[in-house]
Amino acid sequence: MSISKLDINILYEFFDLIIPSNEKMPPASEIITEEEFLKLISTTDKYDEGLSNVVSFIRKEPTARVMGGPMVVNEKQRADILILMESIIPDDFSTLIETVYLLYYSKSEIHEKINWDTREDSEENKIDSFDPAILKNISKKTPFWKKV
Amino acid sequence: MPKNLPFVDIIIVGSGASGGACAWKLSGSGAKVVLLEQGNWFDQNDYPGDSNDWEIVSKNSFSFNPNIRKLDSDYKILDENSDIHPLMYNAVGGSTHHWTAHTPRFHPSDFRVKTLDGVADDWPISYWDLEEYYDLNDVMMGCSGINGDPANPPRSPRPMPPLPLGKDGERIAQAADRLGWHWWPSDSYQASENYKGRIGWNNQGTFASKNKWKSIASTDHTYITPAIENGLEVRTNCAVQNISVDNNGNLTGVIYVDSKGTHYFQEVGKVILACNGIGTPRILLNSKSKKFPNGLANSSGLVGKNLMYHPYASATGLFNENDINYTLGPLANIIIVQEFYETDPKRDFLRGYSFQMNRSHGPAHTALGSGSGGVSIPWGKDHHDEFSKRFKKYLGFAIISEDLPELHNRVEIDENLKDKNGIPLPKVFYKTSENTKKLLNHGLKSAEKLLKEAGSYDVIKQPLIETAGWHLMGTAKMGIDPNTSVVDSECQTHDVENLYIIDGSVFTTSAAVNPTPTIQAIALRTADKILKG
Repeated sequence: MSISKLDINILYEFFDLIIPSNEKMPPASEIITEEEFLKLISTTDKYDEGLSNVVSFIRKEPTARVMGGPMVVNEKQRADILILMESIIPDDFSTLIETVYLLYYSKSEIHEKINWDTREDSEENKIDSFDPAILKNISKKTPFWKKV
Repeated sequence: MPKNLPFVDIIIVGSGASGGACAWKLSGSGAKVVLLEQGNWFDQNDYPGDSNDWEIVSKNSFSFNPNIRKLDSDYKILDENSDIHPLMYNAVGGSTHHWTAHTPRFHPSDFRVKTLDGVADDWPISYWDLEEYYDLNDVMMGCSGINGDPANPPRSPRPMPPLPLGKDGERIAQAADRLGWHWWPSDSYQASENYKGRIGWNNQGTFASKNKWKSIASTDHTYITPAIENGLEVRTNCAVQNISVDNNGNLTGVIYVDSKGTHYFQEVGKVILACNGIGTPRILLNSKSKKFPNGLANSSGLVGKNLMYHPYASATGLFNENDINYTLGPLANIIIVQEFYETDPKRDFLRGYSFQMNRSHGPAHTALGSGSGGVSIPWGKDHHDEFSKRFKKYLGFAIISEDLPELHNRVEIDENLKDKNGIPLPKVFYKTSENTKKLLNHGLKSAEKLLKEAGSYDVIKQPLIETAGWHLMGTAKMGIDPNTSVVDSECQTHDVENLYIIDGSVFTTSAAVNPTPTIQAIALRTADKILKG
């Protein structure tokens, strides 16, 4: 893993622009802990290069440099950096998006808010057994496989 | 120098769909049979599911793609020059641990492509040669399904009824009925009832359920465990380096390396390769000798050539209604549509395709594009609205195309790059053909028509799913002529007596359905032929 703690702090500044809050849903930074982010990126090297490039892009971005670093740019400037990043290094940007989306949508707080219930004992999750009556029409179709 | 091991009658390399079936058939015959597997036993409790992070796991350590997964049992596949990324799972049971278990059969016409359409080649065997083995495999793996499909020949009853269609499946079925199109409940090796120690799908929950995984057949349980009771020996964590022959080209043994790095020479009478359409040519091309300087069984030059994948396209329909939960039930083995399966001279392409209905995925997969043509839903202020439009509100069709064999689509060996055992890596070259592009384009239009008939207000189309290289076929073609094929009609190589290949490598053509039942029927037939001498 080639991402430092400072790098993670920089990335965190952008999380709420990626998934902001609305009247029902919390922003990404409220849901994704630093520990979880570290765990995700330390169990695989899949994200190393992409996230390193993202951090490097942010650090080198002119607005961030002029303003004194990526931690002090305002929200509008951070959004502009993301838009630029998405167009210039789309694959690396996708890596950032994957980490944020995966972590955000893997949390029980979010599952509850979006009504994602996988419990097998939930009455809402029961579906009816196959009913052969549905075959009434298709069964009248003349067999059309080629006899060779 | 490798350690010499005492003679055994038969070595099977690879314990997946074909290796498991073949091992079972050969076990109990009196022959000493050893199954070599580069992975380990898989604990069903390790399937992701029932925990909040299952989507993280499925994108990483349980990815379909070995290049992402990077487990000790995996080898890297150099696929930079392939339009489609090959997928596989390496463990006892192989890729039957990581599949939807959708199990249609080939059509009789699939074995006669040259005769019917003047392209590729006919198989040296027919559907009817495989029929009894298809039937046997359906019983052993446990097939859920129902008779009467007008697109396929009549056949013996499946041991279990179909999986539930759900309200969404019924909606598609009724739409197909209105269009006068074929549809049929998918055959599946996912149990709809308790079956031979396997729990049945209980009509409860989503595809993310851990019990869903346990209801799916994997050959470690269906074939290998009973084969062990019959005397089969399984050696895990054993990667085959090459197959040895003497100066006359007679098979002598297998050289493999275990997890400790120890090399062995296993003297053997017969070798059966069951390592999929990439692993098998990799071993053959790595088995060079004075007699076979271009790789074993490769006098035709066709080992590794004619790689076929089944290119997929996807059409996803968005629905407004909140009364249907589009995540309940199996993810993919629900309904198959074969209205456009055969060649139609009025179209601008040869051969045809099937549709396979699939359901909404989990929240993270939805956010990452499974309901939007593979493109992540937007970040920023519109994110939640776009997510809400899709989550649990989409279903779609995977369009599975027949992939015609082409010599330039191939597996080679990289002489410089090697795995942790020092075995050269495979590199894959694959370009989607113009015929396939036209075929998939037709499929997308047809799928859109059906989804709109079913009530979809918007259909998102993905012309080629690059991540869908599930089916690896054609790289050791079956045929009569040793100059134009690698194995004969009984899957013995033309060049080397007692060397057999039974995985998807031997497919002469690919058909337009999932290949596993056909792979397993071929494996069972080959074992039968070996037993009958």
